[in-house]
Amino acid sequence: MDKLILQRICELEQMGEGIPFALLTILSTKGSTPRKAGATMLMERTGRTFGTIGGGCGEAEVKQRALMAMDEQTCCIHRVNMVNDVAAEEGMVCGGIMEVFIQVFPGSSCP
Amino acid sequence: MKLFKALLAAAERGEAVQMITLVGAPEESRASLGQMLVLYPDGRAEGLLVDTRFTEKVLEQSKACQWDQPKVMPISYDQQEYRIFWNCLTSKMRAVILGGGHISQPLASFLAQLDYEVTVIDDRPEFANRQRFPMAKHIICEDFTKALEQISFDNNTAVIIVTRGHRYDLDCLRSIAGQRAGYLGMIGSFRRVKAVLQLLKEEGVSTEWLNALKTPIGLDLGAQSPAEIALSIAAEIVAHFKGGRYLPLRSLGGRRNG
Repeated sequence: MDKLILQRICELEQMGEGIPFALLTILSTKGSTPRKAGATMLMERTGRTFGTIGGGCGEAEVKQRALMAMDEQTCCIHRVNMVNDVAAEEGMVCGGIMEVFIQVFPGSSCP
Repeated sequence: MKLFKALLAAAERGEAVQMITLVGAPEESRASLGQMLVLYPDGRAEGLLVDTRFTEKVLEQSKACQWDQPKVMPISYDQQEYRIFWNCLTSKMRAVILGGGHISQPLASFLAQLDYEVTVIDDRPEFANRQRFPMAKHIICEDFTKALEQISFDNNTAVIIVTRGHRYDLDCLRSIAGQRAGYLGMIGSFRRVKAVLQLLKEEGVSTEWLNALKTPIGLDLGAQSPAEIALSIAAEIVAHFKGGRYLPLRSLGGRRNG
């Protein structure tokens, strides 16, 4: 995890208890993806982000899902498919699949 | 939630802290998703996954094998399938730049951008100063030999010798001869490099160590300006630590690393 992300999380925690954020981590990838397992990104409820899990439409899709997860206060896994026709039309031509864990803070299920 | 504070402190110390996160659980344990267990290099563990018995099982499993890369691992527990993600804080990379001249400045910038903690050493105050190197963590203005006595290297350290002359390069090499570093390189023309290596050999420095010294440094980018040369050095350092093949991606026909 980037130090920048850790620094921002600590800042958020210092600002006050219960400020929502999500930590997005690539768990695994198949085929061609811009980033590999272990890449992390921080997303705040305001939409502000730190770090990247690859950018482009794939990342945008995960961010969308993360906003929902923050509302629901539940962690989940989101699979991004960049190999189908829709993906190609959207310009996601990398040609891979990635599995991203959306870890929500604070959540009933998170520490 | 002091977990992240502790993680940040560990990251700043450059410790390889392992993080295990519960990313998959059966329906009735879904509330445990996202729980984290943190393992410090001294053996300390913090956090809880599912319950103490599950946590112990995971701890046992993680101790039985060495962490090599971020990965998902399945765990069977009470006839149920769980998944954990095993990750590690990347240890801190350091760069020690010997010489504070024209190439050092852009080199320090590039390496700082690449997340290296940069130390610059030069014996001339007009070169080893904060104005020239705002991106450096440490600036040591001292005789090279003396400065090197205060510094130790490890596998995550890049040592780059770019002093103003081979007399000083020699001083540096004599000071660190025999020491191990992740990357050890010296700038120079083939002719001068050859002479320096020959001299050190005659002085009794081991051939094995001299062979590990990368010199001249840098990739062939056709570099001319100080910044271009610094880029070619930084590129070589990245490729060295990341196991790159030093080739244009297009020549690999899709056989990319990782």
